[in-house]
Amino acid sequence: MDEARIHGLIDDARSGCYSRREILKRGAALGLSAPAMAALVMGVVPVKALAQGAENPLGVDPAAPLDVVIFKGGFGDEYAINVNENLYGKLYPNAKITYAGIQRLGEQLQPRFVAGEPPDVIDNSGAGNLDNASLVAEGQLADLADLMAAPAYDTEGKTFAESLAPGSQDTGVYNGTQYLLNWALTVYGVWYNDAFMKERGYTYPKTWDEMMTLSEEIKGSGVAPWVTTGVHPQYVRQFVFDQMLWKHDPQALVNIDNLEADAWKAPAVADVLEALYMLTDKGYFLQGWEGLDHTQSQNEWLQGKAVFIPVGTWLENEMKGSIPPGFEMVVAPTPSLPGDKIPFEGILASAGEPFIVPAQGKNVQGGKEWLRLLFSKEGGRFFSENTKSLSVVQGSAEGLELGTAFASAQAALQAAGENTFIGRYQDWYKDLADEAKAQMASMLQKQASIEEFQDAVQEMADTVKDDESIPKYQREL
Amino acid sequence: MHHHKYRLIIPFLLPAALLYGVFVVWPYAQAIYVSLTSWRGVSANRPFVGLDNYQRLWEDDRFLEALSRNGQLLIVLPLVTIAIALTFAALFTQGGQAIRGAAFYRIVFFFPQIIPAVIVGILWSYVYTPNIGLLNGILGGVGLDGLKRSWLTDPTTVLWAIVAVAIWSSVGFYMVIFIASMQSIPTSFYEAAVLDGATRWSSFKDITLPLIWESIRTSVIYLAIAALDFFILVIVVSGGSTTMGATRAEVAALYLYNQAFDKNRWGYASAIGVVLLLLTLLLSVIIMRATRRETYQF
Amino acid sequence: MSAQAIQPIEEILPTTRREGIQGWTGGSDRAFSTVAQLMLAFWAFVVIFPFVWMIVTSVKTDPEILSSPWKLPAAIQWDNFERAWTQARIGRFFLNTLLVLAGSLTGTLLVSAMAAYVLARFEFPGRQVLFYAFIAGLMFPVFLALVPLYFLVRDLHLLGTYQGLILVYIAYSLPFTIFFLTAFFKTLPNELGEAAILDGASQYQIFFQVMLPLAKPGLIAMGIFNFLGQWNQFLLPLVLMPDENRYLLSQGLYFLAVQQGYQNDYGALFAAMMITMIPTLIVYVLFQRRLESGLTAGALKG
Repeated sequence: MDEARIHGLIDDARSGCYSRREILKRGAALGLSAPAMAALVMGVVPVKALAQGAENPLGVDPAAPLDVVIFKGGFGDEYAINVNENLYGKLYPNAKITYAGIQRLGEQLQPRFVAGEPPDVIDNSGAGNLDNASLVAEGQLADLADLMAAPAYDTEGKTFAESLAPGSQDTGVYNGTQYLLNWALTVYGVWYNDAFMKERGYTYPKTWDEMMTLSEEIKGSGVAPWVTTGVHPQYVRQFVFDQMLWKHDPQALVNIDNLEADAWKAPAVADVLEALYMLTDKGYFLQGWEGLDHTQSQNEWLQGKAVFIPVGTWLENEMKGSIPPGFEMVVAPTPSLPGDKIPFEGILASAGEPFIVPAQGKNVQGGKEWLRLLFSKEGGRFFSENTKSLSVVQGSAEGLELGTAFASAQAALQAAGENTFIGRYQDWYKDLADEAKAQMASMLQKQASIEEFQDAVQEMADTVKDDESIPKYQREL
Repeated sequence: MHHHKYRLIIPFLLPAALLYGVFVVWPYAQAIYVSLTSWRGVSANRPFVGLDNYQRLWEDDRFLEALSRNGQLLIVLPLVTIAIALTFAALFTQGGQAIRGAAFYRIVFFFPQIIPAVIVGILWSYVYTPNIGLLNGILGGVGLDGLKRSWLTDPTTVLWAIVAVAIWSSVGFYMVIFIASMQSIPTSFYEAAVLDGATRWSSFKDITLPLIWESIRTSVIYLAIAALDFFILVIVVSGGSTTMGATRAEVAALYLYNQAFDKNRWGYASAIGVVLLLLTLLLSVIIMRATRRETYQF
Repeated sequence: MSAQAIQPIEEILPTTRREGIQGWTGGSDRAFSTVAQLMLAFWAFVVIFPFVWMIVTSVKTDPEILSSPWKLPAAIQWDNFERAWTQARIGRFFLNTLLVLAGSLTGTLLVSAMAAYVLARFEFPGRQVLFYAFIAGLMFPVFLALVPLYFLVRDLHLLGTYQGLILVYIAYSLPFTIFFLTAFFKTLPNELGEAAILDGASQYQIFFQVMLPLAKPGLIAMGIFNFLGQWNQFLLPLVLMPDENRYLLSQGLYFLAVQQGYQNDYGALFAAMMITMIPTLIVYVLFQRRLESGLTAGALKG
């Protein structure tokens, strides 16, 4: 039986195009058996098929080939293959899908962009990806407005845009146009092994002072209180520094994003840096941390050599082969500093893993349709089950029992409520983020003082600001 | 014969000239043009900016700092590699019966040269890694805990840790070249020296060195070019072009690479490339001049 | 000892010392021997030990690698190799590499030898300019040409093909090979060619039947040199071979190492490196003498 045609029929049924009688007639024409048709009309067919709003709202050529390139990183790529095989491939069985799950997309895709032969849909993420700001500036990305307004695939009565977590797509808007779609809802915080904490009778400290006290106690017991990757110091720079700065004084982080004069020399910045400096000054980092890459630092942490580690919610999936039995990983916000303007529960979170549809692709509408199918409850649910991470699709993770990490991230988001935030400067101004990253490493290795950190990063911020060749962006709190 | 000459010359030169012109010269010519634009590398749009990129380069501290690292490499890489290679070559050719196991050693010493640079890089990145790495393990094992460090992120060690890998893998190659040169020196020279009461060192200095000077000179130029082009090992050993280690060992070619692939400044990156190219040419000429000596004939 | 190891060199070198020189003044032979042996043993250790460590690591479990990097494995983990072979497809990459190298090495030698012969032995206007134009290619950093090169190869419909990569490999091997072989052809005696002409041989016959066989040591040297260079080549396939089925070895390994950062499988990474190395090691040990003598010839004439 031609599955696409059945799907088409089901879609028609859902959208109310036909009466039951007509469906039965058309079903008979397709050669459907009576029970099958009964199931069809009675709505006993799988939820995914029945829940769709309209057939092909984006006007996809069902026979046009589709070229999909996915960054195969911490999330793997099974969730994308699932879309190819079980969603797009079933709806459009005549479309030949070319698929690649790769790393370091820039080196491989950049020439295709210049040549005007980019893929139709790309998960442009990971180290060595293409610079989204440049792609936007060069008009290489398709405007996703029609996708945003299209009916959601399996969230009834809602548009595609409405079916996604509120605010999750804001960072994909450049000058009023939606170019990027963020896929994974990521929570960044301080992770620990809850089983270990309970066994020792510790509770996660809500203030930095308590964190220092607890760290001292942990250190005294022969375990390192903290570890982070020194090879990629952007982890501590973003997940700890940005988070603490935002909670201490949100405007201070916004000023940094906006390249305000002396934004890096604000007293709030110094407060946070002083707090961080204590970690290194008191020797709370695991020995050798400065030479560990991300997986190495995470392995040391999993082996119980350190208690706290700043990472994002991809952690569990990334380390899935190496998690010792009984380990209960959970995530928490950074502890509060005196005078914080955002409560402790506030947490750094963002929708990440941006997908793009190149404007010059051969099958632009197909690319959008692929995204409409991925960003569905079914796509989101598969992703969550497969990677134990949250997608931006509302309600897609309801009722999933996926362990402590997943539960704690969900709980943290719930507790944070409106208080989630993300700094933008690492997307907008790579030079600035690079300098902050390098100076962060120097400061935490005591090769630079807090003042030197502030001076050096401010100097780079000024350089970026004065450089007319770098496009500038603004945000408000 | 003369009128036949071109019937050979043209067909014999054509394949090489064609391949070289199409696949080498033409892309580089384009790169030179790109250095005069502000091309971002993600579309066909290449705004012409004249010499702007070169002017910015002149004021770019980070580029100059990267270049100064190349300057250090330029001294250390040829000097150390050649010194070690010469020592071994001399031992194998003049050591005589004193050197047991020479055949074995020669096989072993050359071995790193045939391993793909990527494997060498990955292997050494794990040698240097702090807690489970080989180097710190050995230092700890022999009681030198004080020397343990994060070799690939410590700003004082990272560049040299990576240069050591380059030396490690190329010593064997230069050793073989020097051995060949040394073996072409007639034995009678040394026998005469022995009769005159020469020491091993004095005959090495007075006979061997001058007679293999051409090989040394060629090696110096190779290694100098390698010092200017240095970057693949930095990326592979440090674990990526944007890791902390790579940042602290940032050499000019790596800076070029990151400006192009990470920051999408292809125009600027191409300008760096053109400058590096000119520096390489200049340097080769300087070394040729500086090392010119009377060639000894025998 | 050393004399035995370098015997093949005699094919090329008229004067080879068969034994070490004895009877040096200053310093006893014994002290010299001890110091020399110590230095040699030290360097051998530095070279071998990382490889031994790699062998041991390739048969350990990830927890063993991470928590007790110094101990021998409790049980040998052959499935590391299985994962490397099936998931990382090292075998496939190996074959691809051999395929490309077979074409590119033959092409490099033939094209370069023809050009070098003409450049070395014929006078014609523009000869010097052409020679230096080729040599200048030695100084170009390859990555500067990557993007224009990509478009070129794509426009010629050669992207992702073995032929495309072979042609590019040949082109980028020309500068050094021509430089070297030109010098080599210059050293060959004129008399042979002249005698052949008197016998009525054509210029082509002279090249293929007289000069090419004479240049064999130089060709071998360049064959080896280019084998090493092309075997190590990394940037060109990275950009010109986007098709995962046609990845070459270096490229495949690099991606494996990058993936390692996300998938956390140290055992398979080390196993893949082993799989890549073992055949290389065997070939090297078998052909070590030829390889050294080839390079040796290169050193002398270059």
